[in-house]
Amino acid sequence: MSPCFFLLPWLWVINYIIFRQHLKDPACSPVIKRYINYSLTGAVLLTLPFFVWFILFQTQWQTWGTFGEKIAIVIPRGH
Amino acid sequence: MADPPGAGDPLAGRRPVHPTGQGEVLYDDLSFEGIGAAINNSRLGPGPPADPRVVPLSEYTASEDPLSGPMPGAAESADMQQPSPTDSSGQDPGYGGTVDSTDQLFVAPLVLDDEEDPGQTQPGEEPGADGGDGGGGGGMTVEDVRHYVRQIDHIFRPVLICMCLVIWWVKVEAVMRADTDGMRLFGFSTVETGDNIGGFIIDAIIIISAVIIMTIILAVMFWFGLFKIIFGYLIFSTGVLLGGMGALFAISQSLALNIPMDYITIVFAAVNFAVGGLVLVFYCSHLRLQQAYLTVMSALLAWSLTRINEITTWVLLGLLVIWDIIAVLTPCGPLKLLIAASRRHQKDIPALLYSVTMVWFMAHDPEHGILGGGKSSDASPVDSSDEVLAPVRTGGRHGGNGGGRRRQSTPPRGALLTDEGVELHDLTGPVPASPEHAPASEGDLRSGTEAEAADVDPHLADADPDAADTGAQEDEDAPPAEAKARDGLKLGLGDFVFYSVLLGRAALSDWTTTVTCLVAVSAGLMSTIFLLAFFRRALPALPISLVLGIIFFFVTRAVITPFVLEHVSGVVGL
Repeated sequence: MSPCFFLLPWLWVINYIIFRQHLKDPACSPVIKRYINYSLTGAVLLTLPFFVWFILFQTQWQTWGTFGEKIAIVIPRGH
Repeated sequence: MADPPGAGDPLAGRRPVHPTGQGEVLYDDLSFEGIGAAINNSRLGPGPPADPRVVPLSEYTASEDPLSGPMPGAAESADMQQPSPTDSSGQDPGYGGTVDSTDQLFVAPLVLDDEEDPGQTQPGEEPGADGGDGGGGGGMTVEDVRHYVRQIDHIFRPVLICMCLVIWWVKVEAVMRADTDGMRLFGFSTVETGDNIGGFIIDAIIIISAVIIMTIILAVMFWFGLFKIIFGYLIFSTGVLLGGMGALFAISQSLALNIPMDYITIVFAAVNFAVGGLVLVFYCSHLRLQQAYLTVMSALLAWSLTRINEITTWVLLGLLVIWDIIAVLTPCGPLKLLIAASRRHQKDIPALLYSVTMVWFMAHDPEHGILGGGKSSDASPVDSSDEVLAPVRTGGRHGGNGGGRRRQSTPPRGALLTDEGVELHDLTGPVPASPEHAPASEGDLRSGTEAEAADVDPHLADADPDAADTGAQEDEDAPPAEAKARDGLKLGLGDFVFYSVLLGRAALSDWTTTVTCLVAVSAGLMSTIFLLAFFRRALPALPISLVLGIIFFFVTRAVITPFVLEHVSGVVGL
């Protein structure tokens, strides 16, 4: 998980999905298993701020005045 | 479909129990076995002599399958391979005790030169190679039928999903669709008359020319071995498509659905989506995810292509039909160049293909290299959409040397391989490369042109295990037991795209048109697969479907829709 994968939680989820089968494999090194689990938890943790931001934006964008409109690509009709 | 184990007759309970002599055809049983038996029985003359190398399919059980087990894909295929076991003598008591080899469902190991590994004969699902297909060539065995039907299911599902995705997306925004229909794609002049039909046609010609040129350029680059450029281009265009087109798509849908969207969200989602897609398609893989990505990618490209003008669309599709036929079926098409180049470099043709096979594929036998790709290293051409070996394997693309020479020249390999296949496998030298699809990419419109190249060949090629598993080291340790069937239909992503383009355009009309075109394109695809089984060579996937689709579109719009409108009131969506 190099820093270039920062902000790419989906990639971590993919990583988890691909390597998920190895969690059951007893011959697999526990270090790897640990990292597989890390990747899943890391992905979830990374996605949380995103969701927070998304919900925040959806509900509050109008109250942000100019800033809200500047960062919005799509402004619903009638606003 | 399998009978309970222990039933002596695989067809027991499925057809009337009366001995069938040669020549008697049973039509009362429409199961696979029944039809197969009918086909087999209707052949005149005795079947092939019992071949000691031939292992009845019944003796192959899922437990022998080295790849069966926790692997989802393998389980699925293992299920489908097994008919109920017959008695090991190979005789079928249901037939009145006659040893009639045509009644059996044989799987013969494809041993071309000699009994390479009689003990290791992998009954896998290599069907029909026993020569029992009534003397080769045009005959169809039970196994062929089975195989093809399975493949149809595998290949049709993603196509259907792609088409439905496009229809859905187009319908969502059909109401608020900006009227881009009056705009030319490449029109730089400011003089826009109302009905610029000639201009639209010129647009279509420009697009198809770009397709042709890109195909030729890629073929030439492949011929000269400029793999890095090709792969760089593929990766770049896929990334741009996934990221850029994905972002545009999200924005457009948000517009249609009245959802506010901000830059941060879009960028975050698009980058994630794009990078994930690139990794899955070009690097490691997980079968389902990869297939999902390829399907979604095709749908995205097709969705974006529905923006072009209607006249341009139809002319483009018509020209594509012609180009597809030319490219695949005529000797002057780029396909020959690609195959020759592939053979020369002993690499697979780099392309974006949808493959129905599994991740745990055996790296193909190095000698054959069809799909095994070459022995060369880093620049290994990736059949990017094919599964890679499971990451645990250290890049082993070359599996079983023992398990190697098998199953060649079977009808299911049909398509491109059969013609080339036999001669390829006769070479014992270094791998003749696999004649695969033309390079294709799912780039944007311009590079979508290579997509055309891909759509050119829906070969029934063996599935290719080598995908990106790494560039390459040949891993001779790949266990020889990984002889999973490498057979699988492959369909270029360009086919997905253009089917969906037609349907996207139909979706802009009413629902009746949409559904009839959907049915038409699906029927065309099925016919193409059937013809594939029949002719056993690479066939263009576009012509039949697109022609049927176009015909149905115009006929429906002209005839059926007014009829329905006249007689039905309050129909939603019409």
